[in-house]
Amino acid sequence: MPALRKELNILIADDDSTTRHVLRLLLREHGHQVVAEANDGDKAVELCEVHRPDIAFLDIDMPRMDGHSAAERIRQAAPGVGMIMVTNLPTLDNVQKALQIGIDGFVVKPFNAVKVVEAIDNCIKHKG
Amino acid sequence: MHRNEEIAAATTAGSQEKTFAMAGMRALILAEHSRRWEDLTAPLARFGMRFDIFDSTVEGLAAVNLAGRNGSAYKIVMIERHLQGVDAAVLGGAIRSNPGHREALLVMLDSANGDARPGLPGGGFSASLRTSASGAEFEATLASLCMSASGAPSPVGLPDRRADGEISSAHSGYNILVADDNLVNQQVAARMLEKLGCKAAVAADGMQAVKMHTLTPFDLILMDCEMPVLDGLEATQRIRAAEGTARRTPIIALTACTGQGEKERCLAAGMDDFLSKPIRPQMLGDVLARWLARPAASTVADSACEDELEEVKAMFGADFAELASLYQNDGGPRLAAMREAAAIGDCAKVAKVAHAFGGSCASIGATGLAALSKTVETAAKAGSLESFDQRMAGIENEYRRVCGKLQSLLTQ
Repeated sequence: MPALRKELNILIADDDSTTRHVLRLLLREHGHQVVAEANDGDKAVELCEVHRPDIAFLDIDMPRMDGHSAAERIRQAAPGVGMIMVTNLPTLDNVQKALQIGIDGFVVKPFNAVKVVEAIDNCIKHKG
Repeated sequence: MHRNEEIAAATTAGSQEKTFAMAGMRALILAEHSRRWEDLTAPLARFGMRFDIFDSTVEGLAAVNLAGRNGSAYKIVMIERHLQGVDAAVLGGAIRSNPGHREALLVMLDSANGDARPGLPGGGFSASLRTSASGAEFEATLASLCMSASGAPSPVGLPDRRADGEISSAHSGYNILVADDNLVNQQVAARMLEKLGCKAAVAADGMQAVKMHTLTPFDLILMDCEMPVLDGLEATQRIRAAEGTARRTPIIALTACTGQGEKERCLAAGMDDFLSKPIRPQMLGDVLARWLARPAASTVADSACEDELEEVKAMFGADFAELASLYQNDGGPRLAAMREAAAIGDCAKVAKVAHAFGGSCASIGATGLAALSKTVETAAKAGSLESFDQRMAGIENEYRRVCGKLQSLLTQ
């Protein structure tokens, strides 16, 4: 039986406004709510604490605090928030580090709607 | 969980020539443990290859790191479509970013059955293998990959390096569909097209070809005449009927016999030209030159850039116009800012702006431009502005091309 897709609250952290816009449109189109947006890692941690989104999309390369450090901090400060890493160019170090932190998913720009939805579904399945 | 196997060169496999090229080659497999690992490893063992297999992404990437450092890089990397929730494209990209593994051949292991995901998976993957693939299909794919990896001549002969460098820019970025039920022919044609700078997708029968072309129209189709389910002639008729007068995709018949009767039947069905099998690179190049308009960008040096603008446009529909204008509003000023920062030697600023610019490019689908921007960003981060002007000129050229293409996409 097809599971009913629930509307999720999502945070987007990326320092580029075009990227945030693209992702926001895509998430809305799939029935999700973007509850907060951050343009650096610091802000992402802060907003995750306040909004407790179901999922945070974190760009790896952000000013002030990168996605890896932000993910580690979010894990401490707001446990239960699912985390999906975003990158233009996955490098071995990048991906290895993120997997070691224990993030729930990975998407590569340009966003592919199918892959973003797969990552979200997988992240939710993870959290149970 | 991990297994490691070292096997001496196989002496019993059928084709000595093939096994010779592949013996001793290293392969890495990242696969769910729910799979039967023997099905994956047995063909490798038969070809005398050495392999490591993992069901953990972290362990697998650590192995890549180690192999890269030791100078014993993997030639072939097979990756589950999703492993521990991570997409194969991400893992593949990460592995290819390791200096020792730039040339690694990626194969996607797909557990989807049926024709849900036809064609090559893209994202740097050279082939995909379904769980349901037979041992023979598996070996044909491996053999065709290994031959291109080892530089050994394939049965039909691939173009040599000089020739392929010469031709590749002429057809760069075209999407070509190869419809052929013979797996080896299919893979050889696809590889040849890629060497010519095209993106190749494959279909195993006429019905699949029609479906794929309806979903995302190709720039040109190579169509085998005799195929199961729906033969090439009928597939062509269906495509022509669907296109009406709106579009005419060049369809090239792949045929073993080139008698006048056969040719007439092909033309009557709506095909445009012929290629006799086995396909030769030169003839394929000629056909492409005849039927594909040369892209304007091919005249600009260093512009073998690719993009996925159409895909992003298809994804966003009416919203694409807004995205494109957002992108172009920021683009020009950012490029100017990079030049200004470089003029006063401010590497940190150059890196910062290049990063922002590259991020936008990647999001809108200007992937080649994003990669160019990354080279400037990486150099600037390391405190270097060497060849900045030259790199910047390349970026500005490609940016103009991207803006032009955005314009034409929006007026379509």
